[in-house]
Amino acid sequence: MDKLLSVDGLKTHFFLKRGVVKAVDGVSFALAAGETLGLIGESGSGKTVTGLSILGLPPRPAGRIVAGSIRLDGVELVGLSERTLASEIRGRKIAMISQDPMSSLNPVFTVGSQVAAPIRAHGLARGRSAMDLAIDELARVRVPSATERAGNYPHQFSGGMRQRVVAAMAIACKPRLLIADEPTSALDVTIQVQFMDLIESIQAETGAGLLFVTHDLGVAASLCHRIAVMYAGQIVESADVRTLYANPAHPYTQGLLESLPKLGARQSRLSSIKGTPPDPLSLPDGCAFHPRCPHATDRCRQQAPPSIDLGDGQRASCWLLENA
Amino acid sequence: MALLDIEDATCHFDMPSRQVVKAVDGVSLSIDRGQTMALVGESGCGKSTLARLILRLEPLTGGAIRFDGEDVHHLQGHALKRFRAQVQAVFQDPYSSLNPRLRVGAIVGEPLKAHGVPRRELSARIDAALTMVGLPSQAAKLYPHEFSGGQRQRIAIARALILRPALIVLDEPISALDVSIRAQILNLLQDIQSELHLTYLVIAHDLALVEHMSDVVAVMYLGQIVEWGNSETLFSDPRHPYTQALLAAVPRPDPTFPRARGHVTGEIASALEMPSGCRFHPRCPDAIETCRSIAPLEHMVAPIHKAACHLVDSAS
Repeated sequence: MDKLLSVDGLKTHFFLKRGVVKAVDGVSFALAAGETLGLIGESGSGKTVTGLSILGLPPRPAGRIVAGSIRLDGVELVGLSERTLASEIRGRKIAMISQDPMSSLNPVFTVGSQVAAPIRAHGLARGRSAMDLAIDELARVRVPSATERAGNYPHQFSGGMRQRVVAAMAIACKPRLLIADEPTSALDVTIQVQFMDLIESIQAETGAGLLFVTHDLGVAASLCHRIAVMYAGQIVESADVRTLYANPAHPYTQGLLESLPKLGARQSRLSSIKGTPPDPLSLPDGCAFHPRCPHATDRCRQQAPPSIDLGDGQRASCWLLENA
Repeated sequence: MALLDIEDATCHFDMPSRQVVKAVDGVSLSIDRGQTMALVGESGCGKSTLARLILRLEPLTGGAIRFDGEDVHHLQGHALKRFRAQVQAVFQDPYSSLNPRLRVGAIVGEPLKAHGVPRRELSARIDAALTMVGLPSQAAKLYPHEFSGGQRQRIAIARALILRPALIVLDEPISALDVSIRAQILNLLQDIQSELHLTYLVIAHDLALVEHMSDVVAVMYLGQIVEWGNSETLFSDPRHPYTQALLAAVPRPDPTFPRARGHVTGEIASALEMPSGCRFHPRCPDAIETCRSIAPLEHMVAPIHKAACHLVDSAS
């Protein structure tokens, strides 16, 4: 098995007083070393909870992984004790880069000590040599004058530089898998480009796999090798990036791509997807997208569609594709 | 005559350290009635401060802003109140811009009360505003939390429309919304504009959106307008290296499109330590010696297209 990560039938549900939210409801995908998989979806689609579940951090206390398997290099992670996850997995084999670099850095410690923290915690080095390694990581993410800057505090950095510090912390222990949740959303476009270049060079150097969680179809197109589109807790379509953008098969993917304003292609009016994303506490019967789908039939309203293999690694869950 | 005329506007903030932040530093622009002007630039470029100056939410420290011929920052009494009714705003985040304790009817109707519209007219006008943004009249009885993000933005738009303004400032009107909802709200804004002959000032960082909805674009960098022009010409032939860099950096929803390479380096400078000469020169790939010492003037490069760059030739 050459896959770095395989997620199979993952279900993470939230048990609330008002009912059960099936935030992630039967998600399966695999990721190879050095590969970037984009997990695309809107707020509430389950993309972030999928990432957190892989880290063994489904939001507590309501969230729980209720079914499925997550294997990293063949080792099952679901069911591992919190102690094992904390000491051997998180920060060591899987690391996360989150959206807002200001809230993932502690304002009262220098960035050097924060980058050194995972190195010390996982026993890779101690004391001064951990700090030296931290400075190496800061230099690797191209923080200028890393040695001096390691002694600065987060507020002394710009947004783009802070995101680099967070990346340095994530790669400090040479993880096999990086999970990046909207890492570029808070950045300006010229800084976004620089950060995407950085992520690619880190991957080329370390061979880490990257799960890239985003709502931004532009950033995903530029960075990802493959894309999985989530809607209401499920992957509705997955494909190689070029196939997905050139030949989207699921009506939701088609609707999203058609609704984007595109540079250099002025339209008088945008096509739009009708309706709003569903209430997670009362998902529609059948296909969750059917109330918004322009092609929905009675069958779509009653039965959830199977995932259909369309060849060339493309799959989509839609009844319309059954005989295609 | 232009509906809004900004002449050499400045907004400087004095810091306790005796330094001065030049958030807006000599901006001149004008918007015609019925037009949509977009203001683009990175965070910290001063676009939101400029919008707040236009809304008279921030004091001008120099220059003038005229709305329908009147000096906005010297209005008083009834004239000021009239101005407040004529110029409305829709903000980015429909979760924080609506009072969670008020029913939608009260939120949308509040401007009417503030402007002394008789009580008996309220419900009919609230109804009309809700209909206009595609919400049912029953919505008036509900609270904001009962609506999705897209619907909340519709409520904010209804509130902005209810006094029948002439100008609406749209500050990142769709960037907090789900992707599948954005096109709906954009289409709504366009429909309302043509129906009511509204003038829009859109502040946005999404250039594809800007190209889609604007007639005229102004690109801001460190408190100044570096390029201004008719949207079609500016997007097809950007002349300022900063505009070129911004456009090249836009992530396209097309995997075959190559990512911008080595176009601009570094980050926007601090407004506390303004670079000498052209403010963009430390990041500019084409900077020459002159750029380091002398601030460039605006050149006309086409009939409705100006750029402030030493490397740009004036149209002959």
